[in-house]
Amino acid sequence: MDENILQRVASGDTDAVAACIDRFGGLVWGLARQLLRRPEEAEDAVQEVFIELWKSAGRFDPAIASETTFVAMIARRRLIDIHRRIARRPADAAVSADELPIEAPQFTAQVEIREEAARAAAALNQLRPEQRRVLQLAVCQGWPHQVIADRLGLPLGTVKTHVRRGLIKIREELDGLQRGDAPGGAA
Amino acid sequence: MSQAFDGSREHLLQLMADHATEGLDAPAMRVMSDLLVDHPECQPVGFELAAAAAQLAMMPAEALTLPGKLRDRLLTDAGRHFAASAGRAAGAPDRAIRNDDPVVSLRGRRVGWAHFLAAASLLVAVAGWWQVVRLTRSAPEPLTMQYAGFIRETADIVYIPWVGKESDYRNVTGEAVWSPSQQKGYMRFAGLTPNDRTKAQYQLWIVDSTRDKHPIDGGVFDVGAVGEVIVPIDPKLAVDHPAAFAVTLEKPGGVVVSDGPLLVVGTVPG
Repeated sequence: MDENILQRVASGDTDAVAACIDRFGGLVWGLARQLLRRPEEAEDAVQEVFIELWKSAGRFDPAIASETTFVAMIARRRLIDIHRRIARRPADAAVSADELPIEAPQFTAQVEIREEAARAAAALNQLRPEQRRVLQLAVCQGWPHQVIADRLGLPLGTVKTHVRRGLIKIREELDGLQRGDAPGGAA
Repeated sequence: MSQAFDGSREHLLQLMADHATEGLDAPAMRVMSDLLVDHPECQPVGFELAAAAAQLAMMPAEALTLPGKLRDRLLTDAGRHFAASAGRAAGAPDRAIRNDDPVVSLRGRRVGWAHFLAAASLLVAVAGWWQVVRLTRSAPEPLTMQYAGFIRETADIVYIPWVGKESDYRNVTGEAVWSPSQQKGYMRFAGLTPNDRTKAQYQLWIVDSTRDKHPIDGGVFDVGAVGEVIVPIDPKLAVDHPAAFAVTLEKPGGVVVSDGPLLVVGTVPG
């Protein structure tokens, strides 16, 4: 498996463009379908994400994150912008908060999750169910914090605190990965 | 370490968490930028990477497969992007484009991978297209990206929310964002009634308290469909002390002096 496809894109390897689409297309498509309800919106979003990715490939630093996480971060930036733009509201969504799973996350088979996602999962598993559920709604479903508060009957400040602390926990785990700590060892 | 310092750091951490999950509006983005000056050890990208890793961890077991037609479009997009970056003639973006217009236009012009290869081959014959790409990365960005980048990167941004003044415009939302130092900005509207450009066009006016009684002409723009619109602000005269931004509906091409009603107005804070 080629470890440096983004660096190849940035350095001028024309073959890397199609390879990059094939490597990360399914991932970006999956993220878009998670955050945007309508397929046509997701298709448009994927196009915007890849244009952004072509521009950002040169900023990829393997010392900070894996290519997969970097691509997911670029995708999320664009998807959040689009999400805000179209002002989708969870009231439009077919799924209710009660139907959302809160069990331990599952890993994808096709997408290369690697250690970073495993670390994130380890951090998530250390959170209380309520915290994990809030983070799941905020990160995976893209629900605004106020909506999460309304749906779960929690104060907005509590929701924001759960999101903040959850992300800090995951960040600490990822920092531990860079240092070579054992999973779950972050404070 | 003072309580105020700790408090501002907590505020910054919360803004970074908000940014990584639900995004920030322009005023909040400005606050985050200001706080980052005092807390350079805090990096928003850390939260963004954490959120990305969390989403990867929580994705379904079966990854989705990219639809074939979408893959084709991405290849076409890539060809167009890199070819444009390589210095091929690129027209200026329309003055007013619906948010989804760039994508719509991409869909409507399926040039195809063969076109990309042909363009690339031509460039290779000249100087090696990737080398050219690296020297002249100047492709015009979609307005949505320009707008987001402007908000992210402009230090002296002023945020001016719209207020609908006429009955048909009460539901208009959005804002103007303006940089005094750059003398440029953008307007974002949601809910602005579409216009028939052969009969009437929207016109922007900028009230500058230091100028004469007439506001500065900010140019005309169109709204092609119901939805959000992003319009660059590029006044022909210097705007020294903007007090308000206002929109009227005028005859095609606009007018020099307007006597029409102000449809939506944004008052500059402070």
